[in-house]
Amino acid sequence: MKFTLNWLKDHLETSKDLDTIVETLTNIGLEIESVEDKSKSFNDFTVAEVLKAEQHPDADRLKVCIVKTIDGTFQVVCGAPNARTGMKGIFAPENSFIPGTGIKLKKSKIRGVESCGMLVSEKEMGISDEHDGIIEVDTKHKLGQKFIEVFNLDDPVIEINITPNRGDCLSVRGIARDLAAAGLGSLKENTLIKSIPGTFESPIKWKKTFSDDEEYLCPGVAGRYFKNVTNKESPVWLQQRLKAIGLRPISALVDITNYITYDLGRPLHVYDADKIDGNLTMRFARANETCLTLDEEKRECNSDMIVIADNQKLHGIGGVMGGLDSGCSLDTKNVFLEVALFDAISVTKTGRQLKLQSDARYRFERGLDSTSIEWGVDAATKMITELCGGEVSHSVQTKVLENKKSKIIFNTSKVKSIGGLEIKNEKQKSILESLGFNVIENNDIFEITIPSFRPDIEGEADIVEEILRIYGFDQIPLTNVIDKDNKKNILNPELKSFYKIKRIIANQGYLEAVTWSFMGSKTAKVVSTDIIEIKNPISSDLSVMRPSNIPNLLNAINLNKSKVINCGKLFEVGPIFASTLEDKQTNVATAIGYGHIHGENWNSLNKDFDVFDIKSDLMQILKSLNVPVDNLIYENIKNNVFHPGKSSLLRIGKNILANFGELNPILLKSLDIGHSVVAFEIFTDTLAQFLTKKTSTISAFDNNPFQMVERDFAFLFPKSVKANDIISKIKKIDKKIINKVTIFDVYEGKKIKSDFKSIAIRVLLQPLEKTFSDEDIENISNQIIDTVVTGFTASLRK
Amino acid sequence: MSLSVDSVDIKKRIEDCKNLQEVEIIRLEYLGKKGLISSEMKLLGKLSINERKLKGQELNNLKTLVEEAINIKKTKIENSEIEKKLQNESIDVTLPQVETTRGKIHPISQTIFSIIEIFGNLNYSVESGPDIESDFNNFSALNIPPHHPAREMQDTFYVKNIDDDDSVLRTHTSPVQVRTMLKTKPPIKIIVPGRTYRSDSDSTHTPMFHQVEGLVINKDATMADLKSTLIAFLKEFFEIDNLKYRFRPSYFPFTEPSAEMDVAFTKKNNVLKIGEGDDWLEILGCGMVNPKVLENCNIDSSVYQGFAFGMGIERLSMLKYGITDMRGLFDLNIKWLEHYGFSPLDLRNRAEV
Repeated sequence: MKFTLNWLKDHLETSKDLDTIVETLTNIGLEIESVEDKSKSFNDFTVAEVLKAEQHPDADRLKVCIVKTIDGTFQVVCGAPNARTGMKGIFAPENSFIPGTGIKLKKSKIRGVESCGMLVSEKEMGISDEHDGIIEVDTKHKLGQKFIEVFNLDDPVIEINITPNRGDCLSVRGIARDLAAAGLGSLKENTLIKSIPGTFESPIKWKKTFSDDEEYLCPGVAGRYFKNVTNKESPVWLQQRLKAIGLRPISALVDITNYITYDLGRPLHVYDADKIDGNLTMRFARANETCLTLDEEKRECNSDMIVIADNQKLHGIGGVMGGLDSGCSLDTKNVFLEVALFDAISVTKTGRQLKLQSDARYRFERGLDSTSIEWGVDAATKMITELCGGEVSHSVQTKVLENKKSKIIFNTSKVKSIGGLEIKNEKQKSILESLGFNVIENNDIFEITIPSFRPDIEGEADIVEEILRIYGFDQIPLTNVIDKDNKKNILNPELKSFYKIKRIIANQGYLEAVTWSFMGSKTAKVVSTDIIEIKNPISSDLSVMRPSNIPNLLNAINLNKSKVINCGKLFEVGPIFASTLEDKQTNVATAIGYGHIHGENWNSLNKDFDVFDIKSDLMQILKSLNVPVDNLIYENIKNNVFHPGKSSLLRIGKNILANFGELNPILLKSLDIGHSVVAFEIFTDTLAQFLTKKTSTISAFDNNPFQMVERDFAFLFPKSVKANDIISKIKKIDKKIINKVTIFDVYEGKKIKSDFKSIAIRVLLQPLEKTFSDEDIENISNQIIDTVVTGFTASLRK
Repeated sequence: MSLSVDSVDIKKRIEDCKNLQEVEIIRLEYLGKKGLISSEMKLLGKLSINERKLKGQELNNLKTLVEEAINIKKTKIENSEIEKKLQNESIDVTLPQVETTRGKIHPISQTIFSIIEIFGNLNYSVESGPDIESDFNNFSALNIPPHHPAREMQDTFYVKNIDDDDSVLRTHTSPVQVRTMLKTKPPIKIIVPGRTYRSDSDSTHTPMFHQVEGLVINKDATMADLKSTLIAFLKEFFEIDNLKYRFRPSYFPFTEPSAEMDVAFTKKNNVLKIGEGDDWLEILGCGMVNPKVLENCNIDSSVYQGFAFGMGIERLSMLKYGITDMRGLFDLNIKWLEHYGFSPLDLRNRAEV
């Protein structure tokens, strides 16, 4: 909502300066968007007189002018054809900033003649496109008078953000009322609202065709017929106000409707009465009806939309925009006025369907003063007759739905109990009254009548807000916010694992990224069949909810290649989505690793980050989150993300805790990645079960004094045997004595049969009660050999 | 009988040895099975008790002396041999080491950790909810009816759905307020960090962003408590004691009265300084929970009241850490992530340990 300071002062009697007004607006909830005060940037430009204008000695089109300014006389070289002796123009001194060109003016020589300063055109001042000559001002203007005064640009333009509840402040008058309530002055009488009697019957009448239960969609409409008007350009003051707020002056009749829309928040429409056939009717549009609107677009209407029609066609879309055919032009002689009320939701729906925004729609959506039909006609009548003359008919109007005056019973103690500060009843009452509320006081109980222009006020909380915002939110005192209640858990186990895992993964050398929850459907379909689509995506590569976080992270690879970064360890912790999941999502910590992680170092192993590197990281991470990694069960992953032969899922009981392995080359190919990438996914919610322990619980240290013993074995296994199965089988022989099982060599190759592999195993044995005898060790060794040989059809290598 | 060896002489001989072989020769000569001291020992039996005692002591002393001298000499020779060897063992330690990758925490996470820490100390607990929400939780329960202009403030992504047609990507974290109120009895004191979505994309808006929501419901929470809580938070978060702020009226359908909070800032040489100056940055929205919202969530608004607040985590991150380009936060530029990321060990608590 834009307005100028002088416009505001039409409604507000105030002695306060611009800064105070601006600050107060924000403080009472009318947040300042911008203040444009041209008086600062145009301060340098003043009226000057051309004492002498002579031909430039070296250029046919240039003149050398002697210019008298308030600061002395200067020589100016000027190319304007209208520069001549005796004229008055606008002078821009040396070093001033020319707004229209964006250039700072410097002293210069033009074809050998020195030029100090400049006589400017309207274009150079940025006020129009006129550049045929320099600005000429009436000689009545005094030397040194400010340019902005001459052109009436000294009126600061204020723009405020009006929140959706404050339709009443989409008018200069509403803003003035709020400022007056805040103590900045007094609200002046509204001079526009003055009843002017008609002298004849309007030849056009208003009709409404709605059933009783649809009546609320258009609670009423009024109008008037203006005979023999003279439409012309609006007076300068009106044009300037409209221009100042960014509206284009068109003609007096149209400008009046725009002016009243902004001045009083009352949208109006004027029809060229000679283009109306019969009466005008408010009704629902019929199927396939179209309306050519003022913006010269043909609008397809549907039967939910309220339209204005005569005997032949549509002349407007209710509450949104009038029709082009019956719009007023400079030739218009007879005018018919529309002042209507429309239901906010109906206007919203219509506007949205037509994708049509307008000042009228904006106001109807936010609620109009329900009494504005009557005073709207008065205001329009006064302005039309004053500016365009003519004769005015009696008012015509349909029956207007009675608006019940709403009342609120308000307990004044609410200000303290909600707002946290004490405001005396007397003060509360005066604030409400200054905002237009009627208050009947009965000790601490107020019976409040809500003014018709405040449909947003619905309950006691709203009243508290009105009182507080005018009294000042800055008056709300500060309290002690320290909470002495018993400490409770800040994070539940699920959230603890969700957040904690970030630090743990980062600590393992991974960079955390945050990527969109979206991805393109093409990639999504490579990794999953259960995909949640977005109805209105922002682009095709963000059109579905990601079913896996891996493709998004993979985007990093080619993106960073251009920066010659060819390796990386990246992770993200966030949701993935599928319709089969609870709440359609689950949280996953996803990491990828690729390339020669240690760079081109002379001392490093010359190999890419591989499955066992990422497995090592994964196990460290799981251990850090109390997962008993020795109990993990390995299974094949059933999806297209991972390489089927070089990956595994890890579960404990029914819960799948993680997936890891090399990524599927088909997925990589689809993303144009030509090398292997390894990854893991940890389903963080499943880790919650391991994080329920208090951090202070820790088991006692078992300081076993007996000598530990190591024994090595080498077996020949069929290739299909899984190492983890061997390890867990050996451990199961005696969980207490068999302390650790490691695999220190794996061999496949020429020296052994082709379908076999040799695995060398080291077992660490811990005696429990006394040092092992040779016999003890022999027994355990034999047990291990027997178990492995029979369990895996293996043979011991000697 | 006197000992046929002179201790000074032996010491000298040991001292003069040039290598371990020479030392060994001397050792065998004196301490070997057939060495001097053993031979002398064998003769002790022939002596009288007194003489035996004296002589025995003398021999033991000599033995100790020789042993010590040999050990010292041996160590000396060994060390000098190691030293000699070390001379030829030098390597170029200025060769570059293998660089291990350094993991980093994303600034958005770091900001969330910091928010959790501050509100945790004020006894708030953390809640979460799904990103795909019902229209009821995201809008209707929060007093944003269909076709209300407030819905236009938050351009919404809709989700294609076979079973229920009204799923949206939550436009704010506020639906978790609704979920919490529906499942928990007051008092409630929560914060909700999380992902949020609006169909908006330009240099200062991203289709996905993060918010943190706060909700306090009890019998006596006031606007004064709300204002105080937020000021306490902002001072702690920005680590500025005399933060210049503005608490001004605003409008949200789910709070009444509603407010927004701005912090002052200055911009010099393209560097933003928070907490002072004459320009204002909007930093959060808040208010007293609208009684209609309480009723929508089955909480008796004649008994309970409370406040709610919400802020954008990206904006907080950018302001705190001086990040100028919002889109960088969602980029996968490794250099950016390394530059703005935080060490996982950087807990940023007050003790800084």
